[in-house]
Amino acid sequence: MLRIARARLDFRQRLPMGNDVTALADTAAEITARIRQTGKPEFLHAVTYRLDGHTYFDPATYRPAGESDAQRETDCPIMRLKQALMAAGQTEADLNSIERDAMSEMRKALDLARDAAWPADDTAFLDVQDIGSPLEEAF
Amino acid sequence: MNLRNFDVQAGLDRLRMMARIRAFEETARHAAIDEELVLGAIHLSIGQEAVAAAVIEPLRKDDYILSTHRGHGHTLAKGADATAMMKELLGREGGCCGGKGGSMHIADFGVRMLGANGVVGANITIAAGAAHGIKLLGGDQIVVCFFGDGAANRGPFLEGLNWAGVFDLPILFVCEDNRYSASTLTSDMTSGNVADRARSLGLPTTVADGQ
Repeated sequence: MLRIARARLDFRQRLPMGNDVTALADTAAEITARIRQTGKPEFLHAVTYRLDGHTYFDPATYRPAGESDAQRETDCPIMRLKQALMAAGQTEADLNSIERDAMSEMRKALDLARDAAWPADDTAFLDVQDIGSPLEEAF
Repeated sequence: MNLRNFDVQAGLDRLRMMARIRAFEETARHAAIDEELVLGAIHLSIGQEAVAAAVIEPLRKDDYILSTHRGHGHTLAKGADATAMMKELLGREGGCCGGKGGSMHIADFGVRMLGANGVVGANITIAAGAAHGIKLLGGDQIVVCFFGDGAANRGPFLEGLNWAGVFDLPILFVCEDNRYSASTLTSDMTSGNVADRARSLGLPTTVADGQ
């Protein structure tokens, strides 16, 4: 399946590591360990892709038609990891059940959030930056 | 990739994390579009889950991260509670910022997630400050600062990287490059390239471009 997916890629020969969680995790482990040891800053440039719009209501028509769909098909990080796990012997059913459990967790979170109270009116100014009324104090 | 060395347990853990991020994002999108429950805009990280999962995985609970307006994935990966995050998006009591910050200010100091940030690049100088604080206090924590390809064209990018380089601060700057700065193709508005900018400031630079 991986070979067929790659054959559809006619615009890129090499998939960026930003969507290869396995390789990127190894790289990140190495770099962070080194920073902890040396105390010195480093930079990591990881190329990925935003499958949806900029905001949830952005149809992203400024992107070429089909670009996001092609990316989802060939370079989705979840799909790539699932393929690797299946090649290593995991069943698709087990992997799908991991995804189902995740969705179930988040749907429950939404249910709890939907039913949650609004913050009390008298807490409106707690933990909010307040530099005073400009009518009384000028900077 | 050598499948004989493939760590299945680590792979399953990473799948769990990425699946949770995607599920959160898809649920948030549903809550926003279908139920109109979300206050303000949300910027979803669907497709970018590997960066959050992979880079945060080696961190300790007491290491710090800072994120962008597209920060739900980083926040989950650092260990924040999904229910508290969802309540925050809906502006409710019990949200991680008391329901007052929403998506773009989502934070959880308990897991040292110092906040999403609605101002592009602004978290880079805050991150340098956090790292400087660690150094002054003699700690061994590190800071990971996520920003996008567009942020590399803003002032705080230069300032934060320069400051970290001058004072030798324990910080990893991560450019999570999704090739678009909102609605503009980043390469159309970027002179030179991002990695060269970091190198020119003396920072060891890794480009995860995959082979």
